[in-house]
Amino acid sequence: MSRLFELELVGGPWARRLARRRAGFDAMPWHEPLDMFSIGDRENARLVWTQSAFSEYASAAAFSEIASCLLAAGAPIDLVAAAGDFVVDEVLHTELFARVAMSLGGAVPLEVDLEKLVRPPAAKDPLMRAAELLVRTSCVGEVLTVPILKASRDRSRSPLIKAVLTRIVRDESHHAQIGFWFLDWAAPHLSDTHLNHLGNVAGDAIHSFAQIFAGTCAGGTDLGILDCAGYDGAFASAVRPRIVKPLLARGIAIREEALAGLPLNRQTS
Amino acid sequence: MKRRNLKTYKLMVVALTAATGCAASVQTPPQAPVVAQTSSSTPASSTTSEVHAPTAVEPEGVPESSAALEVTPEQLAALKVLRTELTGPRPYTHSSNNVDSEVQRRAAFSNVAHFRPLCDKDGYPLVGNVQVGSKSSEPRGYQASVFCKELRKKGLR
Repeated sequence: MSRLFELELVGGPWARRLARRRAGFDAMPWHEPLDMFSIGDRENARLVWTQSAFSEYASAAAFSEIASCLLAAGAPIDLVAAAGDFVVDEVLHTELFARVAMSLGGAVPLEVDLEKLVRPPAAKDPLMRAAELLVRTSCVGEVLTVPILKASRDRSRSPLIKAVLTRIVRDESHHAQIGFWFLDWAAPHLSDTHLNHLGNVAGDAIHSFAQIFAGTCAGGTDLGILDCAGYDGAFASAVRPRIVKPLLARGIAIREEALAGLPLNRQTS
Repeated sequence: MKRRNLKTYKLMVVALTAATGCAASVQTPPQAPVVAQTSSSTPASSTTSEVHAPTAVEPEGVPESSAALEVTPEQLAALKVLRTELTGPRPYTHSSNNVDSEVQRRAAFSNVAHFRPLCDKDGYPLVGNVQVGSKSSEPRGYQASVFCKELRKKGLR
């Protein structure tokens, strides 16, 4: 069911639990003057940061599903704990991006379906369900996120955006690793059929980004929004060396057709 | 455990400036929120301080400036309907009222310039956070280009 994407807190003991993890949040420059940024840039940034808050919210849902599947698969319990921990990370990232959107003037009306946050795995077997979710979320999604957020941080003139992105990139780097660690643990149990299926899962996930490159650029690097050249370069720098190659090393081949429509020949300068 | 009358604090709310997608007019943005603060020095007490709950741009929040955007009464009413769905009784009940409320909800959405997240072919959000730098999407329901044309007619750009 559709609804507007808005967020609330209940506080009390539930806020206190997060105090340690939220250390440093309130010291970020939330009240930095916005006059130095154009109104057009601020308005575009409201959209992008509202959408980013939702992306993080969806990632929280994904890691929640992953933790459940890892438990069902009998995965090492420290991997399970990490996946559960990443739910908290993503919720806190949601908070950070939400606060950025508010500091820029408020969230844009974003219509979302909270019952459709995570593509359900097609597999029935718990191990493969975990594998599908981790390949899609960690090996593809989180791996793509890291260079893009880093590039945004480096190009932004806003101290607030830099502080927020620095904090988030630190966490996302770990999120990008758990999928490959899981695959290494699960390797003895993955048949050629399983690996082939995972290659299709990864390929479909990468290919779903092709729609982004058909659009026009929002611009506004001052507030963390990359221009086309910066975005395409950051994206290209991740796909082959950090997704395709490591997955292939684990027997998971991504078909070339899945990479069609993506600007993979541009590298980050 | 005794029942509590819980009060929640808004972290992120929609600001219906309607400038999104156009070159924005001058507006006074909603006050940035102060998230609930907790004091670690007195853990035994309920130490969550009041949060300055930011409010979305309601009729009284629209600035008087001549450069302000005119948000139509229909748009504000639609936003109120949508927000009621969030803060009222949970909409997740299976009742015969669901069809009517969904029709009402869709009508409300069509009156509010809004966006949808980037999704795959089956409507699931794209994995990871690659929205930063994302190529901008057109607002649904009320095309930004039409809205901008109306603003120009009124000399508000």
